[in-house]
Amino acid sequence: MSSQPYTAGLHQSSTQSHRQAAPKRPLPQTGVNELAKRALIGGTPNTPNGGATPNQANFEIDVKQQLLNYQKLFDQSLYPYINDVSAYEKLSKIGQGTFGEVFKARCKTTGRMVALKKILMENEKEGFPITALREVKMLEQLKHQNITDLIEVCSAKSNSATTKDRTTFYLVFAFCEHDLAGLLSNPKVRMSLVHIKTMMKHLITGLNKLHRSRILHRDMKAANVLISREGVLKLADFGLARPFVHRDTSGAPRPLYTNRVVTLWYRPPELLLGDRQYSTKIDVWGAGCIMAEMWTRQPIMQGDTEQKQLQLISALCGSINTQVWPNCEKMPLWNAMSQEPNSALPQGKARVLKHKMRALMKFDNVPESKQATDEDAMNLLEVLLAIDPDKRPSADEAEDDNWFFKEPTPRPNVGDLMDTIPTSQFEYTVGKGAHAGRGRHHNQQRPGHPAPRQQVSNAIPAGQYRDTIF
Amino acid sequence: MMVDWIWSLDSLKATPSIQAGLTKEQELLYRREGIKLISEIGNALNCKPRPTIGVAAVYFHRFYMLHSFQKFSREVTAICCLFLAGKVEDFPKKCKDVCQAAVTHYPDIYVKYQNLVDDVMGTERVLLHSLKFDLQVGLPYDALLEYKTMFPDMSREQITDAVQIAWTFINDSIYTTLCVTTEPQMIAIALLHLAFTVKGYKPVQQNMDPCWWSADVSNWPQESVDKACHLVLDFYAATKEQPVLNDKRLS
Repeated sequence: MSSQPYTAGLHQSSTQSHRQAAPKRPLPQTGVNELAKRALIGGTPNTPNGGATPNQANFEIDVKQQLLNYQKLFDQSLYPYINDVSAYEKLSKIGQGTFGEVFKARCKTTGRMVALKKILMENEKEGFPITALREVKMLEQLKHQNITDLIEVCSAKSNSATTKDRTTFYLVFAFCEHDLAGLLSNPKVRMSLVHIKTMMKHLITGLNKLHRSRILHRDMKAANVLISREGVLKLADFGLARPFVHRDTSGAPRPLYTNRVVTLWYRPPELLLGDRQYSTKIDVWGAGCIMAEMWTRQPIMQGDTEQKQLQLISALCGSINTQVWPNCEKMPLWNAMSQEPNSALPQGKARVLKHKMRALMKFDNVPESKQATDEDAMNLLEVLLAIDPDKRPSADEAEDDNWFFKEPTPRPNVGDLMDTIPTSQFEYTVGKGAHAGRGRHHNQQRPGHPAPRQQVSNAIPAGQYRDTIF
Repeated sequence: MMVDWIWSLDSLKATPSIQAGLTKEQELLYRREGIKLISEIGNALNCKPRPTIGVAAVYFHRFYMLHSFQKFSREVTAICCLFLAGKVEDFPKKCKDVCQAAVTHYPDIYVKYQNLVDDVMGTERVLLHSLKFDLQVGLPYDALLEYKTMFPDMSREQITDAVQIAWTFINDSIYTTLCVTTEPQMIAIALLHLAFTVKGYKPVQQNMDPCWWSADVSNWPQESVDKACHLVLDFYAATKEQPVLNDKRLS
């Protein structure tokens, strides 16, 4: 709730003396020791001598019958608490989410395009899924132009009127035409430095808002970054996000989080080494991967196992050891990973990130003579992809990075880039990129048997988007 | 999705229950009984007043601003509010466990509701509809803690003492309708004021402000603050006169 002081409603009624004696009643000044004592002891004041039940109207409630009545009236729209999903016209299925399908739809009254995320309740023994509750609660807190906009939650009329048959709910999001993965894999989309910088600025700003609200995203990847028709980036898919406790809370033991988060290709070294006390820096690593991807146009490290992913990180960012990361040997899986016969932690590897990126940071629409390496971009990328999480900047620090203040400075949006996407191409990406491809197969992964996500495979579920792998 | 969850004091005189024939006193009694149930089961399940029990109580009070006690069983609604608040506040309890705790504390409930788990699950949908999925509830505790450093003229002991008492007043205020008429920060101010009054502390007024809270909520007159305090004091009085809150019986 807002902390807006003094609502009009209260003001009006307070002048109208709701209880006649009340305004004149003085607060107890004396003889309240007993009260204070009671308050100090805490708990509910109970008077022990039970007995006379107060006079009350006795009525029995048949809960089942009442719930049926409720549903009947609700279906007739007599309870206007939340909208019915029939306010939207479903256009097409565009993907599969953690807890159900995602549809593209149009609001019948405003014409606004939305994404409807269906929440499956059928297999829920514990009612409304806690993951969906978390997502709703977090998105309500996170109203920001670089974060996906949850418009409302809708329900669908139930087909049969039994209490067992639970209503289906839909999360209604503002529709975004594109996602970053789709955009990057489309060779017809030509991006210049200012586009990249603007999009990174949006990304980091959104992430900063997230972290200031004490929320970890835990699934940063290009496919989860949406771009509106106006060219504004939105962080999306909070299915894995969770609130976190701030690092320096009075030496209290920090809670352990689940380690099985973040799509493998975007997973930072500390998670791969089994850390369960990770921080916001896991999202910063993801932001680094996405930044590099702006130039490479494909995910930079595409491992198919956790071991392979660590090897790829070592090959690009240099060997993982106590020199670059003093705490690395304290990681739970450090020993297991380094003792593998085909070590997942090869030593003696140099950090070649800068070297490799330099070759890639060229723009096809700029003549060779004018190509210059953007050292500021390089420096930001270097720290975002630091092996040691403590050496990565916070989103707040990254937002103030020099790069964003050098020419060309970020623009309010990349609308001009959106305009360059030909209509046919635009139609092509619609319903393929944005809001789709959200299957989080890693949730079903068993520990010790990490299955690769988005593995090159011909079996693509209908309607699901797959990264183009070069 | 922002919804205003603050009602005028007048709307408390015409709640759905009152419109359906309940007296004001009966309604307040039922509210107290529901909250009592939330609090008891919550304690049995190791839930804390902040946030789980506090949030469940706010859900409960809001729910009965929209529905009547005659239509929706206060016991089932109370259990459902606690179940939902547990999930929202990341302290989930299995629906079965919540119901089991309820039945253990109040065997009557088992007699009345043979299919309690189903009833609670069915009610969750109504509750979510009614709350419009606006599940994030602010509680007065956070604002109270901020005031801890606002009184440089008071000794450490005095302010700690006052905040402690105010904290308990807040714990108990969930039995009243304060949370549907007053915003969390203002509840904190009112009940800290009550704690000061009870202990005879007089915070030094800064500048020319009429009240110590004027800097935060400039247009909140003393009478309204007193009125909020009296709501909690009335609760203490009511529980003394009407021993409905004894442990064994709910209805």
